[in-house]
Amino acid sequence: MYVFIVMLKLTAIMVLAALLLYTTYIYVKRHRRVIITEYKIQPYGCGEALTKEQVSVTSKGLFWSIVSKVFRNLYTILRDRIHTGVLSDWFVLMVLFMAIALIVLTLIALLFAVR
Amino acid sequence: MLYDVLSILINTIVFPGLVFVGIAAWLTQWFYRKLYARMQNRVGPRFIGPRGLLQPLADFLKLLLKEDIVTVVAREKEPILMLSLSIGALIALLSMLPLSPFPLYTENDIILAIYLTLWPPVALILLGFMAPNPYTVIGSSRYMSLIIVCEPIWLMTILTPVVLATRSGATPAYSIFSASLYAWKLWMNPIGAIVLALTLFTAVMVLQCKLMLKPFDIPEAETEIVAGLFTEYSGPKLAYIIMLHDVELVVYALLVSYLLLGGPAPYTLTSLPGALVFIVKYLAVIFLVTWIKASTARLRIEQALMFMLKYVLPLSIIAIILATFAPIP
Repeated sequence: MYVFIVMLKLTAIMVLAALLLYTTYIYVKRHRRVIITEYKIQPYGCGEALTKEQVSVTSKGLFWSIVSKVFRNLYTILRDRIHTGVLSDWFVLMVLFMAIALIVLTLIALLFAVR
Repeated sequence: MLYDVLSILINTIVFPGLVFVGIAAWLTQWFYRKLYARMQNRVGPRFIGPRGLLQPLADFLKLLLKEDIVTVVAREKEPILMLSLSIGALIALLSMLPLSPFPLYTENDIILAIYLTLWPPVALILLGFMAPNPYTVIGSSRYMSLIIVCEPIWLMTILTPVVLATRSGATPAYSIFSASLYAWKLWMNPIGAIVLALTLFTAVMVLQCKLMLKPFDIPEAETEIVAGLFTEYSGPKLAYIIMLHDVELVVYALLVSYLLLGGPAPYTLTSLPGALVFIVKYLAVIFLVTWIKASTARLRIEQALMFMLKYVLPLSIIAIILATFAPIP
C-alpha cells in the first residue's frame, strides 16, 4: 500500500511540475510580441525544397541502417532467415525469441525466489 | 493530508523542485561553459553579470521570448509537453534522494527511479520525429541506437550500488534513498570499493552518452547533420530543450554524487562541512564530464556503439555480478 502512495506522490510531483512548465510556455506565447516570418514554415533542407514524402520516416533509414552497419553478421543472418517469404520461418524465429525471453524471465524470478 | 499536500508542493516548486533545479541548472551551465572554454584556451561567458554569471539566464530568456517557428509538417505543442514531462520526471527523481526535505522512498523504489530516468531519452527521440526533416530523423535514429545500448548500462550502473548497499544491510531494501545514505560505507570495504570504482567509470561514460556530449555527440553532429534532432527547433522550444539538457546534467551528476560518492558523507547535508563536501563531489563529476568532452573528438555511430558494447557494458556486467555474488565481509 505504501508503495502505491509513493508512486502517486511521485506522479503528482512529475505532472504538477510539467503543468507549471507547460503553462509558462502557453502564457509566454500569448503575451509576447514577435514578428511572424511565414517563409520559415517549410522544413529545412540546406537550401533544397523538400516534399512531405521526403521528410517522412522509413523503417530502413530509421533504425535498421545502423543495425546493419554495426551488427552486420547478425543482420545478414536475420535477413536471410526472416525474409525467405515463408511465414513459418518468421513464426519459428518469433517463438524462439519468446522462448529465450521466457527463460531469462524465469531465471530472474528463480534468483529472487532463492533469495 | 495537509502535510502530504504541502510536501508535494514544496518538492515540486521549491526544493528540490523547479526553483532549485532552475538555479542549479543555470549555475551548472555557467560553470560547465566557463570550464570548457578554459580547457580550450578561450574565455567563455564574460559580459553579462559578474564573470558572465548571468549569461545562461540571458540566453534562456532570449530564446523564450523569440518567435516559435513551427514547420508545416511539425507538431506545435506536443514537443513542449514531452519536454515538460521529462523535466517533471527528473524533479520527481530528485524527490527520492536524501537531498529532499520530504524524501519519498519505499522498498524496491529503484524500479521507479529507473522508470523516471527513461523519460528524457524517450522525449528527445520523439522530438526528432515531431518536426520531421531528413536531419532530425537521422539525429533521432542515431540517438535511439545509442540509447538502446546505453540504457542497459545506465540501469546496471544505478542498480549496482543499490544491490551492494542492500546486501550490506541498508534498509529499506533496493531503495536509492538508503543506498545514497549507505554508499560511503561501501568504499571502506575492499570489494565494495572495487565495484564502486568500476561503476564510477561506467557512470561517467554513460553520462557522456546520455547527454550527447563528445565523443558521443553523434545525434546532433553539427558539422555533419546541421543540428541533428534539434534542427527544426528554435525559440521557446529550443530554450526548453537546453533546459532539459542542463536539468539532466544536474540530476544525473547529483545521482552519481549520492549513489557512488556518498553525497555529503561523512557529514550530514545540513552541516556546513557536509554541504561543502557535497558541492565539491558534485563539481568533481561535472569537471570529469567536461574534461572528457574537451579532450575527445566525435566518434562515428558504429564506433561509439562498439566502444560501449566492448568496453563499458562488460565492465558494468562484471560490477553487477560482483555486487550480487561477491562475499561482503
